[in-house]
Amino acid sequence: MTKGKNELCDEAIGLLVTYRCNLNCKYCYVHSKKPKEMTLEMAQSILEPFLMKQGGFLDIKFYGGETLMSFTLIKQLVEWVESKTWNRKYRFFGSTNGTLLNNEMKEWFMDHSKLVTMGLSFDGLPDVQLENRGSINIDIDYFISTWPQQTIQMTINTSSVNRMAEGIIYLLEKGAKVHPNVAFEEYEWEDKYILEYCKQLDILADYYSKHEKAPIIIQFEHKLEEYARSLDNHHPQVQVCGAGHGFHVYDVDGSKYPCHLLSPLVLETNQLNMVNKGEIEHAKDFADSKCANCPYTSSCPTCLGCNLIYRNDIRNRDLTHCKIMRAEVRAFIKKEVTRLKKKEVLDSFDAARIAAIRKIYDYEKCHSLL
Amino acid sequence: MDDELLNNDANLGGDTLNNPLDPFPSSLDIDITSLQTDVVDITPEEPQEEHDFDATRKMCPTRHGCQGATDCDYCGGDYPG
Repeated sequence: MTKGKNELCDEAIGLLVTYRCNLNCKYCYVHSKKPKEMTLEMAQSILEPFLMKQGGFLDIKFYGGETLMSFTLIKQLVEWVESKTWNRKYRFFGSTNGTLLNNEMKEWFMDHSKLVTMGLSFDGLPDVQLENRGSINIDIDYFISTWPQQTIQMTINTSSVNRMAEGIIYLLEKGAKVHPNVAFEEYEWEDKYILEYCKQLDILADYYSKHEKAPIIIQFEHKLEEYARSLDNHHPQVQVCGAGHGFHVYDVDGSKYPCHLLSPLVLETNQLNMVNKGEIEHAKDFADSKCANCPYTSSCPTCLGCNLIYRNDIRNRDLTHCKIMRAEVRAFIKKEVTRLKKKEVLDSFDAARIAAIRKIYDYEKCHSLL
Repeated sequence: MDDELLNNDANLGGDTLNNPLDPFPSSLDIDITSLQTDVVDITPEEPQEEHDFDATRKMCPTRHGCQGATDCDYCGGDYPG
């Protein structure tokens, strides 16, 4: 880890504060929302040893269910932590659908906005949000003004992909930063949806060419030089998230799991047994043989939890996100070529980028996306 | 969901060349070649290491929406602070 990274985040833990949720989103991976809650005493007993340890920042993340269903717990816990002296700095984060946010919560979060960040999940256009999530009773502007650096999580699925660009632009125009991501689901996307995703990326590339200062979305951030190097010297497939290695989630009863997906919130007994036997913590091999020659494994959007849930093996990556990733690399190449063509003077960094673009282009040309 | 494919290895297809539906314009080739010509006399230099990032920005390339809470090697956090 670099110095900068240590300063940012030294240790992270998650608290599964509630299994309950007031919505029933189309793509949700939680299929039985049981009435299980974490108590304040349990949360305190989990946090205390972490806060007493010497170290850098402690990131504490609230998971649900819908986290605001446990607002009282969150409020009491944060105020309890604030009231004491600890051996390290800390900060809190929770994601929320935003529908339960009332004036009392708004006021409290406003007072604690430097310490507690709430990340809103909202699917772009209001009617898409309504169709996917069933509610648009959300004060988006509050989230944007209270936490301007926090991205709005915009989930995309097959029924909303044809309005992806419109939705992203809608949120960008409201002043939000946007994190669009494709939902992990049981079924692969058909080619027509992948092609639609490509089309939407082209619309977005065109938007960004006319709005150069708009906050960039992650779809247009790719380490082309790293990918190009990987074509000559393939990177080993490493774990791409912190689940079980540097990060754990604590269930309502205090039990520890690698992440919220790999916990009783989502998993049935058989798969949970695999997790309880240390399937993740003891795993050293995260390689999927079908990805052996892929140049993009260092940035692969695979999810260990979803691999286990849908394919019964943490290593078995899905093909939809592979195609999505490659569609993004292709769109980014097109966007970069357009940008570089406009430059009056090209420098040494541009030369490196152009060399990488050539290598990735030649690779993609020989490997059909569909 | 009858018309969708089950998400597993069994549906792995081999790569094929020149798929007419493949959305990657061959005209791009000409533009890249032209750019290569423009920089032929410039020594390429790669940017600094990947960890040299803006501390306020999320830099998680895994794209699955962890929102920056985990301490994985790819995540720079995304908190306004």
